[in-house]
Amino acid sequence: MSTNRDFDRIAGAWLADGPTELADRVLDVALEEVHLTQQRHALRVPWRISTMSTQFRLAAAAIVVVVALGLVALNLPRISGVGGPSASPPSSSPALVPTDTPSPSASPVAKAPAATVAELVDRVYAALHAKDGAALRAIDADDAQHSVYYTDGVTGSEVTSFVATEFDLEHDPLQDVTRQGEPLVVGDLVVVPVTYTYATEVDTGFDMFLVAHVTGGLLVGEGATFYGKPGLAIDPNAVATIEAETAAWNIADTDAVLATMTSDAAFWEGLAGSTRTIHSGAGLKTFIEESGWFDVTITGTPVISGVFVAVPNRLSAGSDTSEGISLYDIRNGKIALQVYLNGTP
Amino acid sequence: MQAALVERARAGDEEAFASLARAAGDRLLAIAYRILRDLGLAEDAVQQTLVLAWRELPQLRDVDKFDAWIHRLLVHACYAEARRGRRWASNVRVLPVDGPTAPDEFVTVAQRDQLDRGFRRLPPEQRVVFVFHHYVGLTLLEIADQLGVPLGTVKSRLRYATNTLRAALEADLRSSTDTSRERMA
Repeated sequence: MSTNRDFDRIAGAWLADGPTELADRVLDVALEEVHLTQQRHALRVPWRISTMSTQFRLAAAAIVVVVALGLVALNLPRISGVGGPSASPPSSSPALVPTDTPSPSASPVAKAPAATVAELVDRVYAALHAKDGAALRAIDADDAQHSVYYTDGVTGSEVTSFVATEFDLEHDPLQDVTRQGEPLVVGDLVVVPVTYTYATEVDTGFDMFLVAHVTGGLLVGEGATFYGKPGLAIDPNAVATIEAETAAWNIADTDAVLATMTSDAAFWEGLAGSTRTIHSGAGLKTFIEESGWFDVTITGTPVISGVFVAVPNRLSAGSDTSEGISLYDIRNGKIALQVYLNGTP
Repeated sequence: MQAALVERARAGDEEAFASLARAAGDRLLAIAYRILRDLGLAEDAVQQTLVLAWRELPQLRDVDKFDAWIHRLLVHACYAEARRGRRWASNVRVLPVDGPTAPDEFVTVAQRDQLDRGFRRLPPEQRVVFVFHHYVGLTLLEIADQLGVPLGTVKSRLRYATNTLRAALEADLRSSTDTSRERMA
């Protein structure tokens, strides 16, 4: 056995040897048990909002598309391991409209999947612009969760997470939504630079979501919104920091990668809910060490919106490659948050 | 076709689920056997997987990811069987009476024996990655996605598994060479 090819051939032949058919009796027993087993249905209640009072539910719902102000004032608990201390409450908050309207999930809306990603993106922002909650729910996957991240320029944290279809858009004080450019699209991953306008302020950042494939087309799957305190400027060294981090990954130098990050940095794989993993603290170092096998190539021009930078990239290890996007929150030349998603799993 | 069946099964249609189970059963058994190296344990793992898949199907968000999702359930069932069953951790190995079912001229009986012994020494996590890569034919990124672990973890597991099995084969080669030299002397 002199080469890798010899080993692969021998291993392949050895593995090919063995049973390849499931006996009918095994299948029959399984299906009998299935007949006696009840399916476990998905919880429709947002895991975080469900624990809040009605007042808090309203407040949390109001930020689906990033209403910074009122939310933070309510001191929603931050997710442990993300960023530093809780974001400071902005001084001015838009009034939250009280309502007795039942939760949108109480009256399910028929889904109307989009045919293309471009159509899906257009419909998302048309629904937001028109404040048409039914239209938004028609293109949101039922269980898709959405998280919202806020930075005040000193610390950053996730301020809430909820099931997208629970969002009460009609009662949100949102006045307008403007896309700040063409979305970055990599396979099923969409990143959109956006501005959300409220009576008292304008919030700028990114929406990021994964497209869910269902029969008949495409829906919005898990998502997240990233925004910063109004008036914050992009770090002038942001792109240089990202390039330094990329170079450090490519020489598998864990300490060099960590040197480009703040002490409370968090790395998100995924956007919200159970599909997301957050690496921070000691776990971040382990994660970097274990991920040092692949090379990172920046494949497009970084896009800046508010204090955030989105960068299309390619991970490669041997003949394996994966296209995705990293989104960064960078402060004082250090990465405080990096979110990575693979667009073509 | 499969997506429609998954949607029906997700809504509680047992017949649709039975069709999915029949279509996936052979593949699941083949993978489970290669991970566990024991037909009884593999059949148990497949049964558990199918029942769990039925119960949890309403949680599956993307019907097009059914195959990857059920593979992940199978892997967890194999882990459970590996912990439950002591047979696979045993050093006792039952040699095939009738020989390999699919003889391959490139793999000698001695090599099969060494691979079996080496493979049984691997922890289940390394076995899974090795089987998904060399038998199912998935790329490392696909394996990372299906198992929900970082790519680096997949690569390190595959590297350890490969090193162990290569060492087993090379030990066999050295042993054969030494025997030949002894005969020549």
